[in-house]
Amino acid sequence: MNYETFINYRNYRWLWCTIGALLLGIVGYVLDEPAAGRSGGSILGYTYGTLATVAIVWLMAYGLRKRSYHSSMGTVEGWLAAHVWVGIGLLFFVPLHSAFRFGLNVHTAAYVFMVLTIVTGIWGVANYATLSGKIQAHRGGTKDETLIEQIDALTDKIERLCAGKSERFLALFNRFDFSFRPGFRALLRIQRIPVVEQRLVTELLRDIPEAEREDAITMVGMLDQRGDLAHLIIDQSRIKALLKVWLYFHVPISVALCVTLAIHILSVFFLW
Amino acid sequence: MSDHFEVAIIGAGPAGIGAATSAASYGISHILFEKAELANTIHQYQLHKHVMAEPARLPLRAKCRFEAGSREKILQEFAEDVATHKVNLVRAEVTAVKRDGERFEIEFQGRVCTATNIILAVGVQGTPRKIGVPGEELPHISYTLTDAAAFQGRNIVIVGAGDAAIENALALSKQNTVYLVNRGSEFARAKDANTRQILNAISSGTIRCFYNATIARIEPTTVFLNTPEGETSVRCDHIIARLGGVPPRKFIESIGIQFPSPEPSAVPAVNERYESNVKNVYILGALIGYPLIKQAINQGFEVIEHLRGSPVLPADQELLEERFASVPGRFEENFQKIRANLPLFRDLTAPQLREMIIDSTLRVMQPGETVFARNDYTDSFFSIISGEVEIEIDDVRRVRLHQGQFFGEMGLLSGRRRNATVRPTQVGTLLLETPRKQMLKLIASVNSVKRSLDELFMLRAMQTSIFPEAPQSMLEEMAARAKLKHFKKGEVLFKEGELGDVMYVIRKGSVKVSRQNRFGSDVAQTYVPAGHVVGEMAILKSEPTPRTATVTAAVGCDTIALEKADVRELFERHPEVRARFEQIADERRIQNVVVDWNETSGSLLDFMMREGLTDADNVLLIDSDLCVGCDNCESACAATHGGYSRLDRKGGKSFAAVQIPISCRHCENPLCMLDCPPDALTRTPNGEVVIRESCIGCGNCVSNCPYGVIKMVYDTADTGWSLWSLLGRKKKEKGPAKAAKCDMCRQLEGGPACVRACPTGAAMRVNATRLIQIAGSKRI
Repeated sequence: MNYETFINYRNYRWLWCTIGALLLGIVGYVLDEPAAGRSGGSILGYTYGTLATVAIVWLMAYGLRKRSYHSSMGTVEGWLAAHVWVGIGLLFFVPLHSAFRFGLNVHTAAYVFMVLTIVTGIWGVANYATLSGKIQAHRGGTKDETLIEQIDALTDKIERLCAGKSERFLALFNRFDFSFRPGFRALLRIQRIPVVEQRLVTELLRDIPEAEREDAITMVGMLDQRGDLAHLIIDQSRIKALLKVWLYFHVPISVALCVTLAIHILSVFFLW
Repeated sequence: MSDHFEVAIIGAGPAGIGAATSAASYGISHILFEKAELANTIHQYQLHKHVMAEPARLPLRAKCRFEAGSREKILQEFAEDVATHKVNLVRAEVTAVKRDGERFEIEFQGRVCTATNIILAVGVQGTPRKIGVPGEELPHISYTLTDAAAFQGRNIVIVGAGDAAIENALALSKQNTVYLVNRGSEFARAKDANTRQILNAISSGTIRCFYNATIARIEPTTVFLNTPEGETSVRCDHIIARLGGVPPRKFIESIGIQFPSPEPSAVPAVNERYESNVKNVYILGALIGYPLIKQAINQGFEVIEHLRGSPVLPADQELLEERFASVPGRFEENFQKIRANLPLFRDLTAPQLREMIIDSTLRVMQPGETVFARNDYTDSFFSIISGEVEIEIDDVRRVRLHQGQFFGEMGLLSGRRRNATVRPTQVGTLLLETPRKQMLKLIASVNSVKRSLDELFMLRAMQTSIFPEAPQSMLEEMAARAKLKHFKKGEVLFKEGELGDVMYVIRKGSVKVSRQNRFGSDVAQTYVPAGHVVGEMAILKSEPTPRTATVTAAVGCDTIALEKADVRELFERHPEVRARFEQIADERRIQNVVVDWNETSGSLLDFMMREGLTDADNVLLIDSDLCVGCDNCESACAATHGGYSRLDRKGGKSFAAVQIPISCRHCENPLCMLDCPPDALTRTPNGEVVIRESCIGCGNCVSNCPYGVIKMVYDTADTGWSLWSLLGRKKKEKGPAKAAKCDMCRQLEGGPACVRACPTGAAMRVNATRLIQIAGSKRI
């Protein structure tokens, strides 16, 4: 069954609006043949520049609308749909404004920041589209806090099992032990969580005294279980982090875009 | 002592004392008989019990004193008043009353006296109603409770839902474990103050109440109960049954007084002067369905005024006339019209009728106005005193109802939306609008009202569900043959594969339809709510047809069972009804085939039933495939509701990719509304369940909501200017805690803020049907 998301909002209303505007822009661009040649300085260039600036300001206003909880001006979902599609449209519209002229200057810097903003935005959209369904806690799965509790409980049990055991036993424990702390390191997969390999365990078990063998097998099982839980937490944290982390690029870069855009406009009008 | 009296009063309860003190003060020759104590029923109350003086609005007119106070104070005042007026009180049981020409002969203690008038005020407490189940003869069952302090640390089961049961339960709950067995789902017959207290005690866990439950059987240490969830048992040392009393019928009938029906709860009919069918015999108080002390005293006073030739209007006359203020014409005529024109209320005693009307509203309506509209959530009951209304069932089907008929009865039953729009068609149509609670009280106390409504329910249910085109006569015939059948939660109506010869119209509750999958396990297919029919396939063919699915009661269900033979016989005579029935059945069969039920949707239905979502009218769901966990929904809710979010996104249950946050679902049968003392919880015409400003913060709704969506939050009030306010931060002061929950952002244009603030479109507010569609399309 089809239902509405911010991407296909109202049957892609904002995608079609953007494509329409782009087509109009292209037609205008092709038809316009100023005497001084096509450039950002032509009448059409100025017009397109103004339109793009208005669009950027409007796109930035999404951040305000998202937090205006009393507002009855559309839904945040609709605003996001417009934000996404109009934003992507700018990627193609702004070159029409500059008549595809780029250089190593502040003007192109503004474009570069705009592109970076949009690219990080697309990354965000991609994350939203592919990862949101993978948060287990949203699907009746165990919550992170509960997972951590389970890990702590297992650690306790393992420690009790290890008490007063032979050195060989402890060696087996050390072979597969890991200290798990959820955090940035875990997130970046720097932390290694040993995989309990069956072949290796069988080998190591041979060295363990007969009396401790039963406990050893129990312990290995618990270590394996603990590893699985840790993997799950790390996976889930990564997903949740990815759903947020793109904003830490998208928003600051958009601020940089605003600054360079302001410089671009000022320099064009006052310093040219 | 002369042995002839102007008036003989039998029974020195409130009515008898009211009459006797009045007669004594006027110097009317009288005799007052009492076989036990003065005001014996009050005497049997618990020690120091606070006796109320309801109805509060009714003035007291008497020569004796009575106001709310302790049992002891009231008994003392009665005794003093009887003494100061020099009432001729005889402590003796009257054994016979015989008519002797113009006078009555009264036998007592082997003596005889005569009287011109008899006032019968014996009440009903003399003979308590029994439980009527195996084991009721056991010694640990009692019918009164005088000294609650005599019970310590015991398990006590109290049967009943009236004032006596509630007061006993509350008194005993301090030192004992108390269970209350309530036959109904509410405390409709109790005084408001008692209702409040018992609901508080139940919600705080002090008393455990079994609703919709009856006693199955009693054993020396255990009581077995029939509950909607099935049979259950309670360990118990003592049982107190407070089921009211039955009138001493033999004695009353021996005087020549007639009862309208043989049922034990029937009360003798009296006119507005309380005179029975036997001339000069007056009946007062509980015996004619009037259990309240103040009313009984007033009645005693009124009868004496009537006897001395200066009749007064009843004490509630002013209240009654107020009701008729908007109705043109003389009050007397209009009042008479109600009894004459409304057969439903014909068996009500004059006082019952007056009370009913005082609680009701009279509405004069013109064509073009609307009584109520389809999908409204009002629940009052309407009777047509004069004129005519048209019921618009849908765009095509219209039914006209005339004087004497009634409508709106579905509101009494299921708490669902109105299923039709009703408009008057005649100028000046006069309607009587009776509140649900008053109707429930009448259904519980007047058998003819219950019977009439039961028949009507059956008729209407059959009409709207399966036989829309059937003539009234056929429906009546069908109703006469139909049987009412109750199914407990989880009970099977019929099994897949069985040969079926009965179909069921679901009157109350809902059922689950399931089929076996290829592995032989039952998979839920759909749920069928009240007002629909199941098992109709069995009726269609003349040869025995196996059931295509298993149908199980999802909650306690009332159904109307129709036998195949009966239905088919009626079809013979009404082929047009048969054609229409077959069409409806075909539509359902096609629907069954087209709707793609699979294992996922089956377990989805189970999930929805478990979580009470089939009852949801507007539930917040979050599509986990879209939710990014930004919590903008919660922020939006908090920002628009004084800083407290009324939804808990992470807290709810999930099914597949559908998450149901903890947030109000605006149930069709809102349990939170059941016992709100200030009636602050209400339903808007759009179906939203909202809490009004009048909330007193009692917390009843919080504990009654099974889904935990109502919270107590502190009102915050601005404290005005402070240094902080200069810095843009306002210091807030805590106000009283009040109940708060989702109000669907009624104050906001554009609908709920949570939904409008979701950036990805994951949050939606939908009804149960749409929820099934969305969740059914998801992978697990």
